[in-house]
Amino acid sequence: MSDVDLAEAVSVLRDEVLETAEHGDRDPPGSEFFEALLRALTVGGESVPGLDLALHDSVLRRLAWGDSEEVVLADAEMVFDRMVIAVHRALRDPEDQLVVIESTTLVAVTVARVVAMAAVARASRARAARLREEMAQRQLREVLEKQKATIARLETENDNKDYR
Amino acid sequence: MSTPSTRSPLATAYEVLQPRILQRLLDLRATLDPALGRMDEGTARGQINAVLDHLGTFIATGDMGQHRAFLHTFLAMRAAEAQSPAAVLAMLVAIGDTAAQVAQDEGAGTAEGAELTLLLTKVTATTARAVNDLIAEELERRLGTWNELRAQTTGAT
Amino acid sequence: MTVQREMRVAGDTNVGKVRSTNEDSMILEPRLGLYVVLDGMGGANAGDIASQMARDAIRDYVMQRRGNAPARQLLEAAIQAGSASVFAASQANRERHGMGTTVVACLVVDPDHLVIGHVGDSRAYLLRQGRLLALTRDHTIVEELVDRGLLTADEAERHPYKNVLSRNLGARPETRVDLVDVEVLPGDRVMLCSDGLYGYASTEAIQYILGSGDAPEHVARDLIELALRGGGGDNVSTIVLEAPQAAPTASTVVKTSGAMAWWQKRQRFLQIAKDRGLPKNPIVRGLSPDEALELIGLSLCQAIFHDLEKSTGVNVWTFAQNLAGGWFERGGEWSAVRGLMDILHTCARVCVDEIRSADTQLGFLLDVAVSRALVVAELALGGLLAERLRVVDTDLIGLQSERAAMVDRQAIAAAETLSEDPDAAQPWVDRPTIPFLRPDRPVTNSGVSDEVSDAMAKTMTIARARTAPKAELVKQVLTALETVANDAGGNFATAVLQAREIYGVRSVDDAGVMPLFDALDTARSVTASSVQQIQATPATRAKVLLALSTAHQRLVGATTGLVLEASIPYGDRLREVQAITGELRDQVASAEKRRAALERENATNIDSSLPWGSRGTTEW
Repeated sequence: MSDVDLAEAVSVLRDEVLETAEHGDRDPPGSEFFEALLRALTVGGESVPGLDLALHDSVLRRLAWGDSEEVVLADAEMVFDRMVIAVHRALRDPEDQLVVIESTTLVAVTVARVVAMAAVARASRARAARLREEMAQRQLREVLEKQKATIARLETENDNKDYR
Repeated sequence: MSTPSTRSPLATAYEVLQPRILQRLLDLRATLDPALGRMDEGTARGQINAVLDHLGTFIATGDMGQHRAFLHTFLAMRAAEAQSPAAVLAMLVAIGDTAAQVAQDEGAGTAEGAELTLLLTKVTATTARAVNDLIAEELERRLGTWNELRAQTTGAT
Repeated sequence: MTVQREMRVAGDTNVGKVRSTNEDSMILEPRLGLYVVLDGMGGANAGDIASQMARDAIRDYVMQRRGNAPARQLLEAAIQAGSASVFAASQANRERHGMGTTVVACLVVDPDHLVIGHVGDSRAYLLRQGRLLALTRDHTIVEELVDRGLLTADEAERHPYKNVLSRNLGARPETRVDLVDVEVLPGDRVMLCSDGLYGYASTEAIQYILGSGDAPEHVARDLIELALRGGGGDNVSTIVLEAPQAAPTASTVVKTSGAMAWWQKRQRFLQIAKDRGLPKNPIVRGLSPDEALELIGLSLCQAIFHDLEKSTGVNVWTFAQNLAGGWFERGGEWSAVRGLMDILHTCARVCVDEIRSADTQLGFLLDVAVSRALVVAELALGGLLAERLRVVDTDLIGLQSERAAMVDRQAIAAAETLSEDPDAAQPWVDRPTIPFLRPDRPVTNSGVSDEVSDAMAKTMTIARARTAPKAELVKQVLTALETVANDAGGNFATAVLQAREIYGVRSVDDAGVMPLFDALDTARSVTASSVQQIQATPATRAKVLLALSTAHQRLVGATTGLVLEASIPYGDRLREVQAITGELRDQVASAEKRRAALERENATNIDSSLPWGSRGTTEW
């Protein structure tokens, strides 16, 4: 099949792979991975930086919105598993199966890499944030020492004033 | 030898104006500091009023040491909330500006109103100067730490 | 002085220095009282199309219905029409799928009243009495996280997703529009702009240009110029609206007589500066006394004069920035700047006092204005100091991270030495499993036939032969892949064990983790192409690739799980440290309350013989 026909053939598997009957048609879990797969198939299953960036952005957006890395990975795994079952059933030509499996693997591992990079970046930010907190703590401790000295002095002055 | 002093007329005038200054600041609080804008009004009121109370005491006493104490504490607390010192400076200047504006509006045509406006503007200038000196001191400390760490890291490699 | 009755408006736009197309659009329709800035997004000129479509839809909607609906409803409905128009076009054409635009719109109800509507991160500001107030809040993911208390404002500024929108026109047929009513006072200015302005210019600089007394068309042009000087990395558009002025006020006196009186004192200013030692300040070392006085003293006099004339602070701001900025760049110390500023402050003080003794009213007005100018100077200096602090903090954090990484590497090396001792290493099977793996997932490969197994072995032989001799990690991955693919039990546990073998002990940073993923990628690519080279039927090749791809996906998933596991302690340590900071803050807040109460009690105990502002205690 041509690239476009293959993408069309795979696109009809959407309901099955994403379980839209259960989750509804609008943005079911894993939809961004399925869209990425269709984009990859449209250009012959090759890795294209522009398409990777779109997938990269959609994964980062999910993480930014608060979805955990584990959930994002689990969704990608789910799409991968369902795709290989669906492809085996729906596509007769083994050459077509080869192309789709390769593209599906590419999308799944791209997601994993993006998630790993996000986790590394998060660890790096946590490290930097911890160091900033420690610097802020030093400032607070210094202020606390001075406050205690001032309080002690003012209390003494006030006591002396009362005494007089 | 210190002698008891009576509260100055300007300090009293400020005290009378303080509720109106507070209300104007509460109305504008989102522009003073986005964090203040997100707080409920009760909490924001408490925070802003703490600054205004201190300004009142500073106007009454002219005690620069206490003013620095307040500013040093204020900067440290905001740093612990990840607020940059430039943002803190801008907020304190905005509070001072607003206070001066209210004094000008409420005291228009009176000598006391004019004097209070001028005093509040000068308090703002003093505050800005003191905050910058505090930032510079902290910068000095961090540069010192940086130099030490640099020496240790270079020495270890 | 003539009093302006009409609202004055001007707008300007520029493609910027980096982009090739201007995807911003504007509406300037005085007849409708409608002013709009739009910033389009989407690849291959789609952003251009999106902003223009929305622009036309909004303008047409208002043109047809102006006067027939209340202003708020009209503006909201017009923006919705823009969104529907862009959405429909994006759905009809695959190449335009995902295109959209931001919008910030102003509808003039009457000269005292405007309505602002916006979606996205284009902004509206109000300038009132020299202060810039934000009228809108950006619809970005990061702002929403700040709203939820998950980020602070400073963290948001540094966040990698700070520019990612949560709302725009065109993503959906309908969108939520934020509306705000603005009561306009005489002399107010309202500015609409795209992110190409505020992303490349500081708020303070925008405030001062907007607050200059220049006509709106010059202000709009200067704002564009400011963004271009700041880098011009995006299209930039701005519209400036000016409310009619009121009758002459005290500020007019300052602008005219006050400025002139100040300028006439300049020689006196320079004399005092000389007497106070300005030529000896380190900042002007190497200059003759006259040169030093002209460069610093006269420049400040001129700056204050121009700012008094125009009721702005931009000149003093620029003076202070240039003075200190250049000095810091040369490695100069703050004490020199402070010393110089104190001299200049004293000179200004004396001059104003002398004017006041000759003319009380004028002197008083000048006192306020010049004090304000000195506040502006301190604000500019504060910005520079804070920026230096930020840079030093970043370097300090980098150095400390480097030091921590060095310690980690030493620990890793020690652990590796330990792991060579089988008695010392923790058995792999005793380590916690990866949380997200679900054993109840459908098993896609419950074993391979002999034919497929043979074909797989041939594939891996070819793959190994094509792998560079020194690519040890890739070879390990290939071995792991073969093991996982041949596992009859469903791959999961085997994948985890193999992943742990490959992962070993490594640091949680790019240098530690990325080589692993690069090796996994290389292995995937070489096995996929090796499959094509084996002598087998297409059906067998498909089964081989399926087995290897599934194995690869499991291995990558397990590896990612290990990275997630390894990153957990960083979050935990941060939370521990944050708890300590929280306790310290509570202690400081409590001590501050006590100190403030004692200070008030003690207020009657001061030495009033000392000048106000010079009385003080020593701890601080």
